[in-house]
Amino acid sequence: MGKYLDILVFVIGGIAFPVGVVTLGGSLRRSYPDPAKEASYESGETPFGDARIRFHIGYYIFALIYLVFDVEAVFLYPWAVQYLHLSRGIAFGEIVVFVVMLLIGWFYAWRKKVLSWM
Amino acid sequence: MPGASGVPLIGYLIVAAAMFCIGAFTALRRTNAIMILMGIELMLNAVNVNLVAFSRFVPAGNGARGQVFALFVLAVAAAEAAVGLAMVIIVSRRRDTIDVDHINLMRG
Amino acid sequence: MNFGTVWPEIILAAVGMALILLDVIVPKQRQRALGLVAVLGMVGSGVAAAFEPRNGALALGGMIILDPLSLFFRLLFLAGALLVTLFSVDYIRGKGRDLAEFLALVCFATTGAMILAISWNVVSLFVGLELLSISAYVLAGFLRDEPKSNEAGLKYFLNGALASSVLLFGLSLVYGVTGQTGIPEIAKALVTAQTQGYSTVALMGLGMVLVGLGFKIAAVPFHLWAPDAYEGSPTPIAGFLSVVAEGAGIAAIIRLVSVAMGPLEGSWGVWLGALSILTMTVGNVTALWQKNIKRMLAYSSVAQVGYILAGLAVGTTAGIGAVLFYLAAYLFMTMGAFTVIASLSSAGQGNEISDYAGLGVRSPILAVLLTIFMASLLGIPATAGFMGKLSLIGAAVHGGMAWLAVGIAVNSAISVAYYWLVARTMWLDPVPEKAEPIRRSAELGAALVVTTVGTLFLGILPQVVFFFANWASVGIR
Repeated sequence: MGKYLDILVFVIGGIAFPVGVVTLGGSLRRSYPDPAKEASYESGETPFGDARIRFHIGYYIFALIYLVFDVEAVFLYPWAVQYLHLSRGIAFGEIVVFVVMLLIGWFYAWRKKVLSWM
Repeated sequence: MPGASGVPLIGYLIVAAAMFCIGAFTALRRTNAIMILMGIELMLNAVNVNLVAFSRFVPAGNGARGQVFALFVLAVAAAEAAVGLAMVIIVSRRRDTIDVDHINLMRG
Repeated sequence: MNFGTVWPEIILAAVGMALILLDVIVPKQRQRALGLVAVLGMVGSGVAAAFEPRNGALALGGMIILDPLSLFFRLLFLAGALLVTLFSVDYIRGKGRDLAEFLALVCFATTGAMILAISWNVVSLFVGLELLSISAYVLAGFLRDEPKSNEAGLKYFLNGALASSVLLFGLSLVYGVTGQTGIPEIAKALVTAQTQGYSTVALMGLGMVLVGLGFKIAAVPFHLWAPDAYEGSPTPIAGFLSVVAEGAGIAAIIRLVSVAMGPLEGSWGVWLGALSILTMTVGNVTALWQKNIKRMLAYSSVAQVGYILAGLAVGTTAGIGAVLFYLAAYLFMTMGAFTVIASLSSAGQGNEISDYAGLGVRSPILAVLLTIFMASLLGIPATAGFMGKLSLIGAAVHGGMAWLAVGIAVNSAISVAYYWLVARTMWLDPVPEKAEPIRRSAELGAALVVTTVGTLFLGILPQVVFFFANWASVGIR
């Protein structure tokens, strides 16, 4: 049970710290309400509209292509971990073939104008 | 034989079985194509939990097989999700619905 | 590592990727020639397959086995893909879609089917299956502007993905029991696992694997997606699904169930037999009241899967040999029937059976060919289907499962009704008023010649393929 006690301590500490800091800060500072302070932070851009909108379908196409390429990269990790134990020339050649195949997919998506904003 | 975290194998298997059942229930019960897809993804993740848990408990030397299997399941699941979502997008553009109960041009 | 052992797959995948690149380079009007690229690639892959070893050698770290069964399935899938390519060139261009992308997907799907068939490890088998399935989902929904095709693709995808996850869960349980992913190692480890009392978990795994593969081959009660997928898909793809995708499912059952889980005790052979009877009966009976010919052929192919499962249920060498022979026969007769349908629909004719009225007058050649294919699917003597059913029945009787033979015979009698309906409509119904003569392209003509010759050859001189099928089934272990 000892290990679960650690988790419990972490959970309590994790909740107590932000709650405590925010409460402490709120009780010490003066209050000057301003609409600009309430606005969400958009990396310096001026926010507009509501977040609960229907996103443009173009985003999904990008997301799908990103998803596939991102997950394919998972095969690079076992290769990298085992690289020193493999015969290097062949192992390197294999991963080059793998990446070239991904590049063909990328090239196709690019030339089919999937990557340009509609 | 418990793992390093002290959780016995049966614990992982129960979690995986629960995930699988929730996913299967979602996939069979829901009519929204996206929800069905989410159910299927949950089922695939249950498989991965199973594989990784087993890989920790099977006799030494056989563990890597399960982990590699899990990696392949992961990659295939992503490809499957991409193709499936693309199809759902096409259907929703043309039909204004992704409710599979309403996608029924063919009968017999 | 020796990559020479997978040259057929490497060639086919490379041709697929070359087609993708050519798609963006070659202007659209001149893409007809890309059909030739695909055909050459498939022929090259077949030649490479013929030169591979076939002595049961293992390759790529034991992931791949090169036995006669591998050779058989490689050639079977390549022949199917070749016929699909021949008769999709005009069809796809007529629908105004990208031919190169289509052919590339056919190449990838076939590569997947071949990888599945030569796998000696469940991981590579699964990757091959998914390469096949994911490409096939896209192919089924390829006619983006036709709502029926969208619907076919979506339904095929949702059912197929569900099947994959069930199959995988079963495989994960088998891995848990045995600690192995290699097919022969699983078979060996299952023997000891049973003595340690893990047979329930292993049987659960086997059951889930069978359910997953049952979805993929459209066995009853997991067949409900098949009619919609066949009706809505492009016609060449309906042929592809019924020949290559189903053949791959059968290959997976042979490797996973008959070989890897063969040592499992229990009466699962009988269960498989029950599944077979159920599948053929439901398929045949439902086919009786279909009005659309693609839909009718979908139920007919569900019934054919039932016949094939009978051979797997028997499980003897003769049973597996009969299954392989039937797959070869099925390739020619089904592909031929779909080719006739495709050439008619390219000529602007509908897919309802009533649209076939008077075809015997309008296009006697196509009508004769369609009659031959229907006769073969039914199992009339002197056709491939007859020899196939005969060998299945023989294997069932010798394997001590005579009730399966009775089931096949009774079902063949039921199926007379719907095949006869098509023949009667073609030959006896009056010709409609504004009937136009039907023209065919050279590619379609070639596909028709190959399928007709194949159907009749296997019916009249079956010895060569029989010998090949039996040779391939002896060494499966």
